[in-house]
Formats: sequence, structure tokens, C-alpha cells
Amino acid sequence: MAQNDTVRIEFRSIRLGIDGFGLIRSAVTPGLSTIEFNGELDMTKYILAVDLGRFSQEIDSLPRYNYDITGNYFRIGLDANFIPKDRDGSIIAFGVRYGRAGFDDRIDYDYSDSDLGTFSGMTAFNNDASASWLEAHVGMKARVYKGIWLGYRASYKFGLNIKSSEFEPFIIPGYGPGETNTDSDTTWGFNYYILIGLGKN
Amino acid sequence: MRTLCLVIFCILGVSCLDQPPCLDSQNNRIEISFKSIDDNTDKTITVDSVYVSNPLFIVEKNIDIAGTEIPLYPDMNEVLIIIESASLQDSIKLQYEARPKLYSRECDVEMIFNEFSLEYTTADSIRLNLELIPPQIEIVF
Repeated sequence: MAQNDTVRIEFRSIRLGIDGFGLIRSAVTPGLSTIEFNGELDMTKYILAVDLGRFSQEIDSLPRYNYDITGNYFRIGLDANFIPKDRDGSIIAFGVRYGRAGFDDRIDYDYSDSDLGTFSGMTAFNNDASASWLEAHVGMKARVYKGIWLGYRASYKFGLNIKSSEFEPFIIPGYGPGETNTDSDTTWGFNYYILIGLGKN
Repeated sequence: MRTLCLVIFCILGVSCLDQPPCLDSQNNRIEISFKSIDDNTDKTITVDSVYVSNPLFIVEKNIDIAGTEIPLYPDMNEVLIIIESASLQDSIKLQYEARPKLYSRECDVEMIFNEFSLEYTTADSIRLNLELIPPQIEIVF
């Protein structure tokens, strides 16, 4: 192999970003507020990545139910860059993440039984609930202008493990739907983010 | 590469995820059936009453039945079932957990009843299949 074909693992840049998908969802979804920051240490062939997020949502479907959740989460993992020599500095990557969330949630609801009647004012809540999961994803990032990247990733999320006390949460911050509202224990997620690079770029 | 990235970015942007359909968990009842001790076939008896105690709910009264379904209170964690007939005078007390479950934001909240266990019974012979949905109790006599 010629020497100029080799790609060494070396520091290329640090990128800091924000998840634009979450910002858009927050803007258009009543009761939802979510923000996620992304940090990346680009070592050319490999990228060490950390995501930090905060999530809160109130789903008001009264008189049937009102669901309220607030929590924080993080993901940490590594990406492998398939095109480390791209002259634009663009990236196609496969990566894995470990995610963990801590949250409180509460549901107020009415329950009706055909024989026993309607039970009004029922409440259940989870204090200090937590969840962990794994993600495998593919993603692309393109440098659109100088030190600014636009990117996305599609994540397959699995291995969800929830610790809750009174009921199974409907939403897991950073993960998506709780396992109670899907037919499987896996889900998909999308992130669109804008990153600003610091360093050699 | 930059163009490809932006095209896929836009395609994914218009995609969406479907909400799962509302589900009826079908587990908010306990099934009770009467079985013949001779051949394990269904046995029809005339019951004076089948009821749940505390709070009282009369499930069946003055009727010929081979079995019935007992509704479960969502705000309790135990049920006392009392069966009164000329041939049978039994009570069965079960413990359980009741948890709300929201399948989809378009659905009503459902209750999930599980972790059933027998606390006591006065029946001489009883078969429990509490892991089934719905849980099943067979009274053999």
C-alpha cells in the first residue's frame, strides 16, 4: 500500500452541535420541550461521541388521561468513519452508543370497566425511574461551509432496560417510545444536527 | 458527497413513524370454571350467587353456569371471590398488581393485571393457571 493511501488515527477536530430535529419537534409539538447537545472528538478514522439531552413532555388527552414526563439522558459511543480521506471532510459512519436516562413521569387517568363502571381520578407516577439501552446507527455528515457540518443519523435502538416503580413509562427520554407502546422491544430514531468544528477541521 | 448527504437529509425529514394500534389487553378478568372430578369435563351447577367482596360486586345470581368471569378492581391489589350454591360453598382470595398502560396517545389507558398469587381458598380441589391471559381457575368437585 502506498504511503499516501494510509489513514492514521490522529486528532482532526472537535465538533460541538445541537440536534435540530428535537428543536423542530419542540417548536411544532404542543407540550414538548427537548434539546440535545452533541460533542465529537474526530480522530479521522474513529469519532468519539457524546450526546447530552433534556426532555419534557405533557400529553394532555383529558378527560381520558394526562401524561407528564421530565428527564435527562446521555449517550456515549464510537463511530467508524468509512471515508476518512474525503477531501471535503465529509463523513459516512457506522457507530454504536450506550444510552442512559433518568426521569420522573406521572399519569392521571380515568379507567372504565364494562361491569365495574368508571374509576375517575386515578394516578400513578414513577419517581427516579431510569432506563438504559444500546444503539447502532449509520449517519452522514457533510461540511456545508467552513467549520459548519450538517448531519443526520438513523439509529436502531435495542436492549431497553427500564427501572420504574408504579407503571411502565410511555416515553423514555433519548430513546423514544417505552416498550409498552410498541409490539417489539426495539425502535428507530433519527437525529438531524448542526455541528460547529473547532480545530484543524 | 455533500449533495448526497443533503438529499438523504431531506428524504428522512419527511418520513414519519406510525403509532401502534390501540390494543385490548383482555386481561382484566379472571375466568372461573367448574370441572367434574370424574372426567374433568365442564360441570354446570346452579349458583345462588357468585360475588366479589369489598367492594361488593355480584357477578352471577340464581343461574345455571359452568363458569364465569370475575372483573378486577383497578384500584385494589386483591380480590375475594365467593361462590355460593347448593353443591359448593367456596371462597378464593387472590393477590395481584394493577398498573396503567398507555399503548398510544390515541388510546385510552388500559390496566394490566399481573403477578397473581393465591392467598387462600376454602375449595378442596382447585387448579390455577394464573400465568395465562386471562388467568384461569378450575374448581374440581
